[in-house]
Amino acid sequence: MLFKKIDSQTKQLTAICLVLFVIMTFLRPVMFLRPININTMLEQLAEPGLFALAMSITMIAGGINLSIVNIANLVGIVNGIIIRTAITPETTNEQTTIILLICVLVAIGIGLVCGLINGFLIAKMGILPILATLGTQSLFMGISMIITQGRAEGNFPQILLDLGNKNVLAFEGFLGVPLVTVFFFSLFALLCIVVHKTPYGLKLQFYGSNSRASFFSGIDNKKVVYATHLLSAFIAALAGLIIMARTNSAKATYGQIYVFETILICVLAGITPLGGRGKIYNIIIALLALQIVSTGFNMMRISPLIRDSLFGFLLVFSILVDHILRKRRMDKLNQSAIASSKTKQANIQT
Amino acid sequence: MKTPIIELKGISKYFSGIRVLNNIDLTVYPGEVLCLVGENGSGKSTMIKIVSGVFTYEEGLLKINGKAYPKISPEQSINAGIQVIYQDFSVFHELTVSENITMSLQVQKRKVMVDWKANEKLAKKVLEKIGISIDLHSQVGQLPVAQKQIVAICRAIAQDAKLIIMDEPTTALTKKEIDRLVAIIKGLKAQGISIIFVSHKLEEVFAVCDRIAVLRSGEMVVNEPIETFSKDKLVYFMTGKEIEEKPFRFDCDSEEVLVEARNISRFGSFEDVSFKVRAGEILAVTGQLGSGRTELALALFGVEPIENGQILVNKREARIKSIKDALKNGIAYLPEDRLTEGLLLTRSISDNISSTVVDKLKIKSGIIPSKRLADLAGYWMTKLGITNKPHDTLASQFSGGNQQRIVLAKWLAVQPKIFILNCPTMGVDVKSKSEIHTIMQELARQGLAIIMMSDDVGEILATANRVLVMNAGRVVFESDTQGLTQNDLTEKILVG
Amino acid sequence: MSKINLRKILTMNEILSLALVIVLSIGFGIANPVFFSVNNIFSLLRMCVLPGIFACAVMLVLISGGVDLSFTWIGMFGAYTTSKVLSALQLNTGFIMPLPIVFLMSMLIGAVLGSFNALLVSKFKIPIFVATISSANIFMGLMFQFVGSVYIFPDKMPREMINFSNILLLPQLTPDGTVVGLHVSVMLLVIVFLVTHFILKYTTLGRGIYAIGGDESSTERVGFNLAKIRVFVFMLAGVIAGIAGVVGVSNIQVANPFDFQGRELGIIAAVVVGGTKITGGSGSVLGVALGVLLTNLITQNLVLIGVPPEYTRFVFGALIIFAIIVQSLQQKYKLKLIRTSTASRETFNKKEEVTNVV
Repeated sequence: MLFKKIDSQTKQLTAICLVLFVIMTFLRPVMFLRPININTMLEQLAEPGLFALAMSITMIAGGINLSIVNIANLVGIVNGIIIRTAITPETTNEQTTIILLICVLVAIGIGLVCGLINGFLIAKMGILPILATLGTQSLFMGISMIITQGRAEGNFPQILLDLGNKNVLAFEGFLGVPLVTVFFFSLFALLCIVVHKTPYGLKLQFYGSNSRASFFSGIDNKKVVYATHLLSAFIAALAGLIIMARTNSAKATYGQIYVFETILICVLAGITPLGGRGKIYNIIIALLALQIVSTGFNMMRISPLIRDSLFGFLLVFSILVDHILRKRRMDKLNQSAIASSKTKQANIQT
Repeated sequence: MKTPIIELKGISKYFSGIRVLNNIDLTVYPGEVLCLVGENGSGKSTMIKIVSGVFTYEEGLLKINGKAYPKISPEQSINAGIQVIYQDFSVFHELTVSENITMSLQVQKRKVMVDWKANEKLAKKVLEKIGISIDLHSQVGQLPVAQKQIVAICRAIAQDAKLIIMDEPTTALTKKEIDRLVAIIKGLKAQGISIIFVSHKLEEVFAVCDRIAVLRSGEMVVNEPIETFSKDKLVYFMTGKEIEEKPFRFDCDSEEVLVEARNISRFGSFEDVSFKVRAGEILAVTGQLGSGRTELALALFGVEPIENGQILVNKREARIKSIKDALKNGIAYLPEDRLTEGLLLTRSISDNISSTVVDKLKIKSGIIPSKRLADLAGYWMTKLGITNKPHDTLASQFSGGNQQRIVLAKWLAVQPKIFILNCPTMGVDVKSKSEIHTIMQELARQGLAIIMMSDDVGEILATANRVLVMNAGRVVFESDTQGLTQNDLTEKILVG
Repeated sequence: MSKINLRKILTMNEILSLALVIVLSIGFGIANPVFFSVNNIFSLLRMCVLPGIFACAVMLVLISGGVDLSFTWIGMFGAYTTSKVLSALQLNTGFIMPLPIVFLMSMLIGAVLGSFNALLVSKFKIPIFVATISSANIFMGLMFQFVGSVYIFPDKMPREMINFSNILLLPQLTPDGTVVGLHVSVMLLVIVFLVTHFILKYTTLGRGIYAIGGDESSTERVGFNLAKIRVFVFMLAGVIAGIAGVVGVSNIQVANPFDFQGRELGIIAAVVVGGTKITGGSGSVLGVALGVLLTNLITQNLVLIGVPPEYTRFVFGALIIFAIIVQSLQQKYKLKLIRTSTASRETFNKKEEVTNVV
């Protein structure tokens, strides 16, 4: 009975995911199923996953956020400078921890400011989200470039790298799940609740469905837009911290490919660019599916460029399937109505 | 007997499983002016879109000039001589008047190149034919509504149509312009061009038509020459019952004035309007389109705030500059256009009903349990008699009458003290219409102050205590409805 | 009378970029007279060619109501394939393909790829942004898989393409012995601008592009074949991208598959800054030219006034933000004019007034 309650999108997606997993296992059984491989896959989920979350809420709102990657990079760069200037070989572990905490606060601050700018352009100036974030993307990248003068920040302290890459002792009990992944999953769970169970989340979905009707229902559309972009930028900022920790560097130009991938994940998860629909929890399945494919392709030595190309096909394909299924559903409804009216007529005549 | 220009036999149309047109038969001959009458939501627009090739149809057959078209595209329809002037005019806001007028002709004549000078000449000629002058170079988007419509009519005329379908053409025209339009129609008729004049305004119907066909809830209920009609007969067929609806005469004995407007104005919308509504009273506000009545509603609801004057709620001045302010003062608003302003069509019925009270549904932890949404929906579905479908049914899958009830439900959920309803029974089947009236009367009995905007004179006289007639932004007539006849009221609305 | 004209000017789409070009040119010139040197101007014009041609492709799709993200890959696909094929031909048979055919080959490939975009948008009803972000990746993958992914160096490049990059008009000898002049590709840019403008203004299909971007349902009602317009727009955009591809590749005399990557957003931004609305339905070649000129003017000459190169991106971003804010204010002003100037009753469509529901 519970099985029926899960909507068809989720079921389809899970099926695809399982199929992919089986295929990959079949193609490279020894390599694919190795624990360290599973571990790496899980670890690699965090970055695209956070970006997908950041993108998803803006898409549900009927818009998009093209600046998420640049916000993340900016966070990494600013923190890079803080760490570089504040941490010397003489700094104690205690002090390092405090500085890292400051970094987190700075990250959140930057995220909020960037989100505010995006929200202002969209809510107050009435600029289309795609255009507004197109502009802020350049703006944020520009700020990053001024700070770094084109170079990359790097050489972060060991403790940061530990957090990023290893399974910290306290979490060994989680079958060795990387800390960043745990972090991502918790944020993911939180966002699921926020979007589907809180007043803000419902308002967001209503706004995305029909902003005019939500306005006339007394919903403060402007507040919804601000909140969404603040949240989106906040998550992107957190992603910036993760990138910092994992890659031990921060560059102004890192990760531009993520924009496409996050849109793909969101669309696969049923969040259309038209807005108003989509369940956050499908994102995890879409993410896993893509991760499986990526890793598998890696093992088969397929170039990442070919992989992106296939993702392109995948995106097109999934939208197509969605359309066809929807049309079929409508036709079925019409057919059954025609049929029932005919039987009604027949009944009247007999 | 001449070949009919169009012939519909047994046409039916379904949307998402709901039948919106049922077994329609209709024939129009060359040089005939047919008035297609019906309330909004009766299926008129759908029928037009089928003839013009925008919609497909599921049952029956369409013939144009004797040729059968089981499927037809807009291009084929235009080539067969069918021209439609839609309610939204289908003009291009960013392009000029001249281009709008001649664009369709360009496409029809399959011209590859655009000759701007020739097109301008043609556009000018057509405008002169109608006798109105508009700057050919102005952007249509910046024109007043009436002039946009002229452009649309010119476009149709420029294409040598055999049948011109005008969908509610007079809603934004002044009396002078309506007369001019009637003269144009008579001229076209003399040239052998047929016209289908779609309207729900009785007076115009009688001025210009040869034949009247009445659509009601997707069915053709009568199709006869105009000589056989009287106004009463027409109204009867439109509404499905005798005019004299038993009037709701709730003698409002309360002295408590819930809402009062004192000399309120908004530039470009309305001027110097004053009225009082007591608890338990239904005030109707009417007037032709452009009279300012919708603007008045929007002003009270905070969407287009007043610039001068005062609004008093419960005897205290209320500053209403936003919807939030209006809600704080207990004012709710049922919009005129429920599809774009009232409903979230792609969302479930429980989503829609809770859209006004989202913040109030949360429990201490900040979460909204799905049970609360379901309970709210269930409560109102029963209370308002909404068709019993599962709570996750999309709003788009309900009929017009039920959809209106959903919008009512969501506003009743905020427990308003003052309820403004803009054309509450528009596009609603007859049964739902009277049920909505009953709901309104029940609300009045419970002590709400109700302000109803309406086009329907019969509805006003049957449900409201008092009526305000507006014209050009001012109140021109105010009266108790007791003792007022339909003719009196209609006259006041038209003449002002 | 003059008041009305002032309003018209203020609300013109292209006014912002025109004003900025004039103001900044004067500003740069005052700060550093080198700005006005013939060499600098010629150099600026040459810099505008590649983005300018691409911008025409972007503009066409933008007017039709969507953002195209695949144009750079279409351009590269066309140019790289042409280079590879002709290079092989040249090496094996010594046959040197004349320049017009070189362009034609790339344009043809562009047309084919463009029609794929049309298929996605028209038949499959995929929103343009999503469709082209996908097709960009698809084209990239197809190119790498079936054509190649390695650099083609000058010694193996088709001869005519190399020659093209060296043709200068109005050559002049500078004091230090070098030859400077206006590069012939600027002429090509002008031709592309003129042809695009002509198509948009004087052909029915061209006007159809404006129509479909303005209001799709009205376009259908007026009798246009929507699919036909879409195919036309995307194929034309593809052809133009093909031209740009050849210019870009011959400019650096190397076929580097990744050369255009990442430039999409800058070109789209230039088009928008120039006044083409992102919502579609309006736009002009003049606006595009001004937008491209403005953005390149700034990026080229910041260094003249002593701004370090790492500030370029920021200035560019700030320009975009500034431009879109100004455009938004222009829009609000326009609406205000409608409300206040037509004070009689049956005038405005109330739906238009209640705009900023956000």
